[in-house]
Amino acid sequence: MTDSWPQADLDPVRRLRVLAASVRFPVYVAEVVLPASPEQVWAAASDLERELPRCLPTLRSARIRSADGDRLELLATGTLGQRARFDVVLRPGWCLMRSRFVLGAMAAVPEGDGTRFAALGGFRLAGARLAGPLLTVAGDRAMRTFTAPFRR
Amino acid sequence: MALGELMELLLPYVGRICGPIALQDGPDATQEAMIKILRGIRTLDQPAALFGWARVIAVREAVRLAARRPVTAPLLDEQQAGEILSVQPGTVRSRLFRARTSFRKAWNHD
Repeated sequence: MTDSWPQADLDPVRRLRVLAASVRFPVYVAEVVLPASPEQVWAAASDLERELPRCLPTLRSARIRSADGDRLELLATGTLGQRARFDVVLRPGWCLMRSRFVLGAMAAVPEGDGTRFAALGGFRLAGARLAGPLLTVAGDRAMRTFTAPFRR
Repeated sequence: MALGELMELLLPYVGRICGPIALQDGPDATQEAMIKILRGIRTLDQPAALFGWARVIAVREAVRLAARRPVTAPLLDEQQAGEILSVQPGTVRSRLFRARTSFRKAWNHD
């Protein structure tokens, strides 16, 4: 009986929407449909060591220090030398990154002949509301940089 | 516990509740229920009550979304049902009677 029981699931993009609507600090959220397969998009998105510094100009480097299944530990170094340790969950179509002060997420699902890609980012701080406009500028810029290779 | 972990913990449970009630609206109901649960989690006094509390929200959201969709199943009379099933209208009537009786028994038994 349980085999035919209609279980509802949330695809990664829907999970990201839930996260965006549930956090108590402002987050940047954007979704875009790209003319590329989910495999192509995720091959780039999941290459955190390459893509994070490429898309976020305030980041000098991102290094994966350890991996246990879909759980990673990532060390991010800013352009001013500041460091942050991120707990990361990385699996096909879903990435969640959390440090003491920052939350980030990416999701991808097939849509038509392309891929719906979603990204989220925000500061887990009490006064983060003030950073809203800054977040939008940085988020839009990161999204443009990441998606540019798929639009050519 | 972080929101991401709570989502992993509760999503299968909430999806199993919303799916059978909201049917094709199951993902929408699950998404709405998960947002309400994660937003309201801080108001929960007793951690032990988590699943019961989440269940109430999931059922409410699923029923709300299911009610929004008009019933699309055609309503048949005994004559039409008999034609579809290739049996006499009287047979349809007696089968319906037996079905109602056994449903009532099962319902009252619980």
